[in-house]
Amino acid sequence: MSEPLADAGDVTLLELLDRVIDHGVVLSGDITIAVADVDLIYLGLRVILTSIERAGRLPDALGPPAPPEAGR
Amino acid sequence: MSRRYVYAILDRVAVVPAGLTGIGERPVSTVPYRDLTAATSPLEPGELQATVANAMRHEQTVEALRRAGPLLPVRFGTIFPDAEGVANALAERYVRLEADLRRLGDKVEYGLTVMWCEGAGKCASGESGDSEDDLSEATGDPGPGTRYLRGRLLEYRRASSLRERAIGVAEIVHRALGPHALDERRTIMPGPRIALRVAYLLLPAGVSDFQAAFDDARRTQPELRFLLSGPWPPYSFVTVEAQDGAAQGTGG
Repeated sequence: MSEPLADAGDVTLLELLDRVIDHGVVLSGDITIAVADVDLIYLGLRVILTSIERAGRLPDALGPPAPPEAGR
Repeated sequence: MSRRYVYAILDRVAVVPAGLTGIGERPVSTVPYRDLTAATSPLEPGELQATVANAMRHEQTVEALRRAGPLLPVRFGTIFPDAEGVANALAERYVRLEADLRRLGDKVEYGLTVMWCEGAGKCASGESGDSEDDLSEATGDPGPGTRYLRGRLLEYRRASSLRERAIGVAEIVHRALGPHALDERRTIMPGPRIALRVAYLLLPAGVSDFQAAFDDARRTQPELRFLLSGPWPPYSFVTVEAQDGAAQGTGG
């Protein structure tokens, strides 16, 4: 736990990537980014971020995103 | 003929900003179906690479399209062989997409990340009251197997303590911010260093009140780090299509 916490800019970038990759309308296009390609995106992110949570657990495994819990 | 990359679903009357380009600097144009239209750009084979830069370009294009009117953001990497394929996809999901556009198109999303204080594992686990000394006193001089199991037990207790604390944080945050949002999606402890992530759906007119409530909540929890991002298009609130084809509502 000696690594520095990510700054606000890092978290904003992580938020952006999580949204465009894990959320949004799914139109089931004939060709979409494969899971392996998503791995590549987060590997690229890891180059940029060295201290943020999700990047920190790559490249060992890119598990599915944790399911959101009911808000209310 | 040309493959089509899709960024967003808009109202058919929406006008794409002049000169807008997307991935590969290709011009953005629309593919309509009934009252909807998809914002797309042509894509050559091999042009879309899974890079942070392209993911950011996707979001930048969606953000530019928001200036044209309400929209539903489409997930990164959605490609069709041609414009007809895009129109067919709109037709197959027309009712759901049209309803989601009316429900969400003019709303904004904010993201909250609550991180433990620096050295988070220590500050949270310290509250559990467990230590290897405590366990040693309870069971005497251990062998290697016992030491291993004690370590695992300690780790388990720390994780449980941290999660309980994260749930408490989620309740505090919900009481403070929930009343200012139309809907929310939260994930408790997506990882050991993040206590909570929440996506909030807001009316643009409600953003200032929400931000004021956020500032108040942050002040009451100085041992945590609160980070707010947004406004985003409502990525986290679109209706998710289940594998069997049925739509799962997201509330709201």
